[in-house]
Amino acid sequence: MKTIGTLVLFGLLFPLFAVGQNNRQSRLIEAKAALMQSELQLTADQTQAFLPLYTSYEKAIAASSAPMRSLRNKMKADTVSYGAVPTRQQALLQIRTGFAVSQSILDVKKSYLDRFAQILDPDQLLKFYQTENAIRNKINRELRRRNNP
Amino acid sequence: MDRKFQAEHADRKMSFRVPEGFFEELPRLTTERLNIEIRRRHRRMWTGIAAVAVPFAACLVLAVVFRFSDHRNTEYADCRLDGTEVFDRYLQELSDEELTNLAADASLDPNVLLIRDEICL
Repeated sequence: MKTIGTLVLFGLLFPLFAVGQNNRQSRLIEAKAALMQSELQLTADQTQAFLPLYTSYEKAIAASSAPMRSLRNKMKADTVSYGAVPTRQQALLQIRTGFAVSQSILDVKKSYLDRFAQILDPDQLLKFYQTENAIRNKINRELRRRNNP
Repeated sequence: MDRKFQAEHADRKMSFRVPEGFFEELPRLTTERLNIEIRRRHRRMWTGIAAVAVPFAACLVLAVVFRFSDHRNTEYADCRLDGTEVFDRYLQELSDEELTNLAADASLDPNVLLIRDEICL
């Protein structure tokens, strides 16, 4: 009876964990969307069309990155168990997964380009991809700031 | 056999007694005891169900409260800050591990190379 109770409790707590994960992802998307909105200076009509599309675009990109995230977690566990130096097989697996994930993200970007082009002006469209690059730079800058205070 | 048994016991007194009206009351007492036992089992079952359902409901309420409080915070931030500030604040609130993971994810995002200079936020 106690075992069943414990299993049921874990089963009930798992959705809470999933909600937490989902929450983190939606906060990231909201922050990025806020930045995009102010950088692209969208009109009210554009905002209405842009935000749902951008949310689904970001979710598709996050889903594409999932294999690399799980590999990263596995490698962290392997580093604890087998030491920090990767084997040839681990290195190749990491590089191949990186290629596959980058390719998958690029496919998502290509498939959404026309849909963004229907909403944004040409100038805004260019700025959209420049802002994406700027977001990456911001993240790296913040990481460097924390590592070298 | 029956007659022999009666002859053997005819001169003896009954070695035990039951209270007055015991056998008349027995069916009612049995039913009452049975009902009490059934009620006790029901109570035990509902306690078991409550032991599972109450933590579940509490988790659900917490999840909903967190979800809506987060949303309210973001909306509040949105109306006071511009997008750059919202994003900067988001980055600053991340833990070191979350930021490292975010940077690792971002590093896989293939750059779209454009002729125009990259904007500096």
